[in-house]
Amino acid sequence: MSEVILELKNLKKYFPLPGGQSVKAVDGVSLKLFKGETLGLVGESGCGKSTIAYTVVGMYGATDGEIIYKGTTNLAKKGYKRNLQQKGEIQIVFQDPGSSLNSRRNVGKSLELPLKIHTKLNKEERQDRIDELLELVGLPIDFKKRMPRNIGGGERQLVSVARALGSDPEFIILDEPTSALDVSVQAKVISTLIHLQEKLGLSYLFITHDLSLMRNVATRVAILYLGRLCELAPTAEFFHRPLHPYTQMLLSSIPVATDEEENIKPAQIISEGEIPSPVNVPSGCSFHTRCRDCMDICKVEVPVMIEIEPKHFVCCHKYQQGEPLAVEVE
Amino acid sequence: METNHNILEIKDLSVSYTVANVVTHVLEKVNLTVPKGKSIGLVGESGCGKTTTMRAILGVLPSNANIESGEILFDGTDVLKMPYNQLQEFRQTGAGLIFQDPSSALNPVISIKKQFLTSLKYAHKDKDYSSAQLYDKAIEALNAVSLADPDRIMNSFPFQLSGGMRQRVCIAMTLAGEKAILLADEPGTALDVTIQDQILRLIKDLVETLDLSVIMVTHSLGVIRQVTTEVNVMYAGSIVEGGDTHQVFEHPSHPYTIALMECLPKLTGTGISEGIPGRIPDYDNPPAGCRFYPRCTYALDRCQFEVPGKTIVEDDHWVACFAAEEGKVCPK
Amino acid sequence: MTPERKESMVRNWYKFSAGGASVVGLIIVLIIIILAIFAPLIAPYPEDAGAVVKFSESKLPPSSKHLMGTDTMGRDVFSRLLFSLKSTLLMGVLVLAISVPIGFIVGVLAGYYRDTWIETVLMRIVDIFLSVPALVLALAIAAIMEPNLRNSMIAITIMWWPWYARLTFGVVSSLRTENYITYAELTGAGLGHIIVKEFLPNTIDQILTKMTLDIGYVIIMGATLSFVGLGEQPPIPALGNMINDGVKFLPDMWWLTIFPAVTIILIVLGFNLVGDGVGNIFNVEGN
Repeated sequence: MSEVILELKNLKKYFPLPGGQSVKAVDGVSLKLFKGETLGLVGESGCGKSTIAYTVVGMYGATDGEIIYKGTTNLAKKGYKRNLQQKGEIQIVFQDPGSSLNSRRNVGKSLELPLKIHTKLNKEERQDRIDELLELVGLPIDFKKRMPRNIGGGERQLVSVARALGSDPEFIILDEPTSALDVSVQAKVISTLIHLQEKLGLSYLFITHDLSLMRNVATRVAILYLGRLCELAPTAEFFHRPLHPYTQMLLSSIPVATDEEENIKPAQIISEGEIPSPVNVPSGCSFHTRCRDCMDICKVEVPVMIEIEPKHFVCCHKYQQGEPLAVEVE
Repeated sequence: METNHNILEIKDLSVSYTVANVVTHVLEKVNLTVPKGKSIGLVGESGCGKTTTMRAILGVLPSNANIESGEILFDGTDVLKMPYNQLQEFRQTGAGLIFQDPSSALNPVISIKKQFLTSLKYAHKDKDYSSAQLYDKAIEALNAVSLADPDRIMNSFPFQLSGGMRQRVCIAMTLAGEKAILLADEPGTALDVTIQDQILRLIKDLVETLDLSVIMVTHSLGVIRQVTTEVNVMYAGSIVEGGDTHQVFEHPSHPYTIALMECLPKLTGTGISEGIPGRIPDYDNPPAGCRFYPRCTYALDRCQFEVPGKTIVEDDHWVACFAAEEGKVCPK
Repeated sequence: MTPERKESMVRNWYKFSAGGASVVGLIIVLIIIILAIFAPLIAPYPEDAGAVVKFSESKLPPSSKHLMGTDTMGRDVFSRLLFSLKSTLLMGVLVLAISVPIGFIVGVLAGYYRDTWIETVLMRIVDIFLSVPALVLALAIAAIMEPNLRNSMIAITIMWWPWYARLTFGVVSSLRTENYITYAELTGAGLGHIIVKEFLPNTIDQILTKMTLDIGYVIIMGATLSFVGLGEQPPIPALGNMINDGVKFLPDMWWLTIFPAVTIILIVLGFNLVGDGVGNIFNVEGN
């Protein structure tokens, strides 16, 4: 039984707007992250995945709910006030390679920052460690002296990863780390991340909108819609038997490059309509406005997360009464 | 009316940029044809030259660009040699452009109605339509792109519409202008995947029902497969493989195409590849022979010095590669 | 010196000297500095910079004996000019050496704490200082205190720092939400690190450029103050008070006014051209 590194209990983060309303970015999310796994967090814009990332890493304090780190401390309300050790153990890699590194400081100096704060190494030892970190992510040591503008986007992301490793983290939040990169560069970055996970026993919270990537990287996948979880399952099970109508819609809209993949996708669900704004979340099940299987109860009552199969959770009224109406993939 | 009429033909186009006395050879003998009523894909990663190609078609290359050679024939006339007036007309009535980011394609402080009618006025300037007729055309186009309540849309400002709706408005503007050819630059990338799916489906429908000609420029192989009937794979300024989309995807023959497809994470869960070693070549000092040579696992000696010509692979599928010519390329 | 450092210095020189005017400016500035430092050795009549009266030599036009003529008290204008250069340059350097760091600190704090009460308080103070006409403020301050060089420098410093606060605030508030700043905060970096290691390298370009251009204006401001009697007191020569002495006698003893005035023009021109060159180093980023 794997250790639970992180547990979110009914996490909520609302951003107040002038005029009394608020943006309900995260609206009651509960999940666990186990040591050594990669939990994929997938969703479209407004689903709250980035907000969850930033709340977990400490940029925001949560509005409500708990963030239990390593079974003991509740980090939810602390925001920036975490202690130094907690700051070092939970690290983050951002999406945009352009603003992740200070363009006026060379790579070596950017990598030195976590070492200065979280380790007791002296100047020489720090330089050695920087060399090690660069080697770990597969970059040449002479990158130390280079400025960010002289290295490519993928290389900058690898530097960001090396920087995150500088404080010997327990787990790393990867916020769309490759969305801005070309496919061939993405492959290099992702494969490096996978090697590092095996080698160092890291746990990842991997946020992306790319389901094909998720299929090959995550051990478990969670789908978010407008701040709430729709479905959570181990990866193979998730792609083999997607249950939630939104999951099916997402999977059926991915553009794929091979016939085999096309055959795996659920039957074409034409998605209609727009994604509602998180300021005006629809009543009841927030997906009901776009759901082809919408029933009367969906408009009124918020569904509850239930465990259909071991470890496969769904939040949908279709499965609440009696036999689950499982959708077999063709 | 000929059935094999090509609405656009790019022949042997070579373009370079001059930056601070250094000449970078960006496009190297690019050939591309768009038959009327077909959707053609141009796929490649960043830096491969697809944006330069698009700009060359529309005649909007930056001032430090030089057309070294080649022609771009729109319905038989060379765009590169058009006098300014004719070029303007080509842009107003001949070609339409859909941008990657719909937010920056529309002027945020002008109402949709005003922008739409202005663009239609130019598109139909030789036909002398009244404002009311142009308005009707706009409504018709908005309906064709499945936008509910077109009158309300016309009276809105861009910020009041979502990204998907803005993209549809841009497509509608091109449709209503009855342009001969549509250039789509990553039309769904800035949008969510379910919305992107709607947009791509829409474009595909329009191609089929209205006999629209489209060049789809993208870095996504999935989009190509979904929307286009023919594809051109671009690497470092030249087209390395092309032909019928289905044939190219079933039997990729160029080492770059093969590597690119391997890099794609698949829904079938086949894992992540290590990427393609190396980087794109320096355009100011490009390799003498095949530009993919330094990164190619099938490279032969001659690849370093000679530029490969076209080899026919299947009835509508060619590749520019010596190793493929000699049958030495074996994808897994 | 590593080869990369040397290479970047050579590159910077090329950028600086493009067009040639900035090199001319640099030469002017260097000459002025040398003259200021070696005034006691170069001046033909060094004692004339003090309280000396030589009626026999008074009111003489420029000649080989007195290159720039003499004033009403018989003092050699050229020697007095050389001695005045020291306080002129000191004014420029010291005022900036103090007002720039103050302005930077205020601006960086206001930018970092953007959208909080700290920003509001700091930037409104900056606004108040900026809304009073510079010269009036300087005059008011200098007039309250005893008139001498030190106090006029203080007065100018007080009205100069807000410009640097605004400049820094502009840069810092736009960089506030960059990911690398967020990263530094999340990983536990202190405010000191963020200000010095993250924000400062991004602001130094604009600050240095503005500083070199500003020296000229500070010097003019100092000359203006000494023109009205605040600043260096007689008999110590300053460009401003020398002009003041000479204005009464225009157009007859033109040499009393023209030479100091032309000197001011040359100094300011020199620094402005250097400032342009410095701007070229930072502005042109290769593509």
